[in-house]
Amino acid sequence: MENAVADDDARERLEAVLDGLEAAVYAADARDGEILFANRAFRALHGADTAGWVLHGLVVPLPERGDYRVDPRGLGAADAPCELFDGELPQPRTGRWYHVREQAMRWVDGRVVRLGIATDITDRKKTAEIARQQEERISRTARLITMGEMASMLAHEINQPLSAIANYCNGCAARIQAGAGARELQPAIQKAAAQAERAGKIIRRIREFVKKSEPRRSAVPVAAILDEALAFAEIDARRRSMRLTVDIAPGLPDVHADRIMIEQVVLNLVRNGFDAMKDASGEECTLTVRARACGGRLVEIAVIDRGHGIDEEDRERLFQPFFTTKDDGMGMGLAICRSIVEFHDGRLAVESNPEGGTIFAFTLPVEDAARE
Amino acid sequence: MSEALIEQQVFIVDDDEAQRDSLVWLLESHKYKVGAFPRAEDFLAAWNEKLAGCLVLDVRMPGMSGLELFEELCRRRSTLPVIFITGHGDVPMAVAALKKGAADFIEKPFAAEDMLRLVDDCLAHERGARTRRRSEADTAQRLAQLTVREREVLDLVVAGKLNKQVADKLSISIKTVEVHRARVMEKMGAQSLASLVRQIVAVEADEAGR
Repeated sequence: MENAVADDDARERLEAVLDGLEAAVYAADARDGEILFANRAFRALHGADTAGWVLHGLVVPLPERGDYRVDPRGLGAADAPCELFDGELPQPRTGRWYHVREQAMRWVDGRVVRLGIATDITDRKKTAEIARQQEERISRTARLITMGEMASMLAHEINQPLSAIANYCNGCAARIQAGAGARELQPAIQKAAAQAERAGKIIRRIREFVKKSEPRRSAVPVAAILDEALAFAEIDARRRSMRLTVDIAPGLPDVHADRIMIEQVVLNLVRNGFDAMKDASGEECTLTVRARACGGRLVEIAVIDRGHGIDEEDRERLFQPFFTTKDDGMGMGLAICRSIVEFHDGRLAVESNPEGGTIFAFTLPVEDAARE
Repeated sequence: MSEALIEQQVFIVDDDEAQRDSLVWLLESHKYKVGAFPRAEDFLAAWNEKLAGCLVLDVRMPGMSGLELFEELCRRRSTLPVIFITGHGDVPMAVAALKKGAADFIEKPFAAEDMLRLVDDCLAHERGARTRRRSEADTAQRLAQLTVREREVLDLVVAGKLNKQVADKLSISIKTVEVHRARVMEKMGAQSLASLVRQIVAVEADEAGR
């Protein structure tokens, strides 16, 4: 009798300790999943008194789902104790994540049970996820660097050897005029030649870069392209106090495209649009990106700005390399945009926006049409 | 020590070795004396207020940028004219530098004659400014040697007063005014009244300008 009281005391103390834990602890029959014990955290997690329930649909590994390497339902008393499971599981109702560890043990009555402990790792996971997303975003940003920026960087790189060559040669000319001999001139001429090689290497590097980034086309949802490209444009828009609206027709088919390249095209056109609207104010500060079907086989993406517009004469030359209307522009962006679109068997066209401003629109083939 | 003998130099600060070396070659080919530095910090370490000539400075450099070096030199009251070399898209930066008192800027790639002309202009300007500063310092030194009475006479003479008016104003004889006046001319090293006036006006203008 006294022994039984002592046992009850010990059990109560143990339950108090287990109930005090933040982690969810449970024990369930290995064969049929009947819950034999659950602490407070486990009960709170599942929103009910769980004693007598069966472990199904709860945050625990399921044999039917193939969560186990060894099916616990077939375990005999001789197999326990052994580790059954160690992994991360979501709680479908709340979306929170748990780290769950389970061991097979012999229960007091000789049955084999799954003794489990589940720890909430949602916050830790969220932090890790944010870090991963940021990293991905950064690496994408690096690839999404606009063509204008790229061209500007190349211009800077090529400028160095070119101006060095010019300096060496001009110096030589002055010295020759002053009667200098070959010996005096030789080092400068050699250095000029070395700089010419340096310029050549830069060009080779560009060629390799271009080769490496050869397009890889696949089926891409239009919304996915716009989401990604416009995530960057949003940042720009906020900085410039402009509004960006997106209008995607419902039920658009996937397009057959190199996702990154088309994102670049969209980003370029959007940034151009922002540039064109830099003197606009109020209602006019809205740039719209619109996607809609264009016959059965094409999707058209249009970037519609309310900016200063483009006059007839400039429009003719807009897509020529090195033509620019910007103070610090290289005149490469639109030329490259057009090559990319044409590579995709699409067309990039420009027209005046009847409401003021300009519309740049390009087409892409839908996935099925491209495959035929 | 005669400052007139200080030789003007073209100082180049550019991190790109080829750019720097080729510019040295170009300028030396045209008989300029050149000093070259790969980093802004290096030039700053070598800088002192006696350096004469001009500075050719790349805007974009790792570490201390050209613009930062320029600002530091301004703080140190450097009198070297500065020419900025800019690359593509640096124009706004160059304009900012001009507003802060840079002499000029030149865009890469530049024609040799443009660079040479800029350097020439800067050197001529700097030479003139230095000569002016020297003669002003000289005038100030001479002024300090005048007695109180001589200074009074000088001020009145420069203000355009006749000897008689000076004599009345200071209550001394015309004869005494003439003696003082001769001493002033001698001490100031002035050949004529006109050159005396010019000296004083230059110093006063400079003082007013400060």
